[in-house]
Amino acid sequence: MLDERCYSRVLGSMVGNAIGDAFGGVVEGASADRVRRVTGKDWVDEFLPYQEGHGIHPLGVWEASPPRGTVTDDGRYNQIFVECVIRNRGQINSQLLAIEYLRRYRDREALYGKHASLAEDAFGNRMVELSQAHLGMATSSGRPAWAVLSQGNYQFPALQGLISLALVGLLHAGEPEKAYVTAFELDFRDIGYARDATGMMAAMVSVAIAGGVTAREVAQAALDTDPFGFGRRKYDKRVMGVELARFLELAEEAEDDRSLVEAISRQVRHRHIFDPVDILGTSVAALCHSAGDPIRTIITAVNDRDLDDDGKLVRLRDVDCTGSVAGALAGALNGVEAFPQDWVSDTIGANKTVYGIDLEDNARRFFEVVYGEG
Amino acid sequence: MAEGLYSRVLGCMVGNALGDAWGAVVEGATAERVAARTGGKDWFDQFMPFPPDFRTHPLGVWDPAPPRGTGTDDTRYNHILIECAIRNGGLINSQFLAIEYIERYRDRARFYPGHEEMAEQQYRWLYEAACAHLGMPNLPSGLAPYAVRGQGIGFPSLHTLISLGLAGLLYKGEPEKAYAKAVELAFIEIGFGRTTTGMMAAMISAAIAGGITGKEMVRIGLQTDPLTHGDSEDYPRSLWFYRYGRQLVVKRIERLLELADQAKDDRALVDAVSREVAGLHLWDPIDVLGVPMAAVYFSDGDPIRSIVMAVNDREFDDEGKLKRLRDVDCTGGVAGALVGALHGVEAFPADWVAETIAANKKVNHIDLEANARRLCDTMFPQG
Repeated sequence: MLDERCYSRVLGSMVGNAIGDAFGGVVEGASADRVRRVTGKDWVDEFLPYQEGHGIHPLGVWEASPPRGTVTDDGRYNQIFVECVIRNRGQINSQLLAIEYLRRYRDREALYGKHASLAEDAFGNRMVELSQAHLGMATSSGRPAWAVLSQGNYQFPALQGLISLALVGLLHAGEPEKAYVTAFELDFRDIGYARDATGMMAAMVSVAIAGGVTAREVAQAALDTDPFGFGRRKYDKRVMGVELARFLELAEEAEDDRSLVEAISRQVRHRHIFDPVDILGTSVAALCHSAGDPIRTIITAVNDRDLDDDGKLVRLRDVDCTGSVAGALAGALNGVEAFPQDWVSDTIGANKTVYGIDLEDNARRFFEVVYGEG
Repeated sequence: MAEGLYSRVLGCMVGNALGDAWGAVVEGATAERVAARTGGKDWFDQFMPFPPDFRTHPLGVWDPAPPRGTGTDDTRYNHILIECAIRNGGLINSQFLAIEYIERYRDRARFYPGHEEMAEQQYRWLYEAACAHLGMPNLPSGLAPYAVRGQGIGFPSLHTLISLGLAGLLYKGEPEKAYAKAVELAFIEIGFGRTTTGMMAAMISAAIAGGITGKEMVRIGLQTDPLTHGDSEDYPRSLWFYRYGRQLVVKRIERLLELADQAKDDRALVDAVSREVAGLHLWDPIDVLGVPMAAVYFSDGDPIRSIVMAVNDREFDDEGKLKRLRDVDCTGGVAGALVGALHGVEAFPADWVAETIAANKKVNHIDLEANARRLCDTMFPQG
């Protein structure tokens, strides 16, 4: 039984996840020219509506130039997890989640109506094949399970878990080890250290929603939670542990938010934009550097960028994803009241209108099935 | 049985062990240690014995200062695969291999008399991975199987590249089958670590059939793609992400081949490819497969030059001088297997071959000649 304050953090994590996703979704991968056209400068610091002409994409927004606060795939995937937990009355494992993914694909006409063809592309891309293989079914691609499993989405550790299971920590308030283990188990679409990153994210959200912790303590929970002992291995290091510690050093050394972003940019320049080291490291560094300030955390995260040799902006990186992870952490730490009221109402309204996702209703029902009546 | 085929199969095995042993003498060696071994040079071009102070390691050599030609874990792993295939009459799948790994660990006193402790340490993690793969509910570590499967060592690495590359010997002239089998067997690995294992197997499969050049073999390695429909645009859309991941690997290796096209000599090639892989982890299979492929491509399969270039894969200091050699027993083992499969065992000096066979029989309990003969009898009774 938990109190309203905890509920606020659960809702805050869901709404923060959506705000961060939509904040970054406007300028994801944007060139320097586009960033300047949209913002008038090379720094994104306003929660903007999608520009006129912003197109639809299976992994982006599903309506052209939708209202401010409309999420992309990150927000949609995370709410599939939330709704799967609700449907199963608080019980969740990787098989139930795989079945949920298959159902979303199979029943897309009924579930997504006018967006059914976008849902087909979004969920058909590996999610179906990986779910089928995970469940021991024949795959619709005809490929044997051994060719699918242990390969992840991209053949390298990527961000699937971070952008679709960022809210798993909401299941286990104040129990970071349990949260980590559940997230790791659910993250069957990822491989290697990407699953560790998903577990770390869950551990942080778990600690944050229990309350009474600082941003730095939240980050420390990621480093300290290691139930499978990856940090104790003899011949190979815990990649996420080593890398996250470096990001935290950058956060401590940076004089201001912009210098942190520049330092991170140098740190991640050789990494793929889907690398969870970048996505989680940037978000956690932003959270710690701002001492958990929700707005600065999201702004710093969505300015993750590639710089040229002169230190000038080339393009923003995968900033809907960094934004969504940062927003989920900041919301879990501070509760929904920490975000400007118009941001919250716009985001809740936009996702209800565009996708039929009711963030408030999902948060309330999730809270009820997981924690009783609160 | 065709002696040419037997020679290439044995050549692959001997080349693998020889390249492994060549590089092991200076694996990870600093510039000072390389200079000490070579009489002041920064280029390691002699097939040398292990020095008197060379120590044992579970993943290295199992006897101190063993004879020239003694292989390390690379050689031992590959012959677990070969002996598993022989034991099962040529039938092999990932479950048979998992059982083999479990037996090697459990029955180490029988398989590795005198080296039980080394075997215990080398194969402990294979034992765990094999138990998880077979769906055993209680793993030795106490972890749940889902915490082990799909995890590898946390990132795509060289483990199956150096332990299952010889799967190509199971399919003469059938690179697609060899590729698919190698990926299937690579249950301990993840992501593109498995893909590069398939590439290696495809090259060996093509090479032992004979009649191709080193350059052609390398191209087969990059083009064989039975699991993602190759360059064809007619593929299930669900494979887009997967193909994208594979293309990243292919492009990185193609970049190494471009550098080979531009290099004026062997040292220039090593300098160029080493700088290209500088940001990668030592165990990144793009390095451990890509550098030998570039060496084979540049020399068009010259057996000794290929191995020498591969075992000189290096890191530089800020002044552009040798800082240390990279994981060069592995690059050497891969290069040796490729050129041995391409040219047959006669491509190597007879004394190198004899010493390598004897050393691995004595130290690693592996009879390379018997394994080659029995594998050929099992897999290719008609030649």
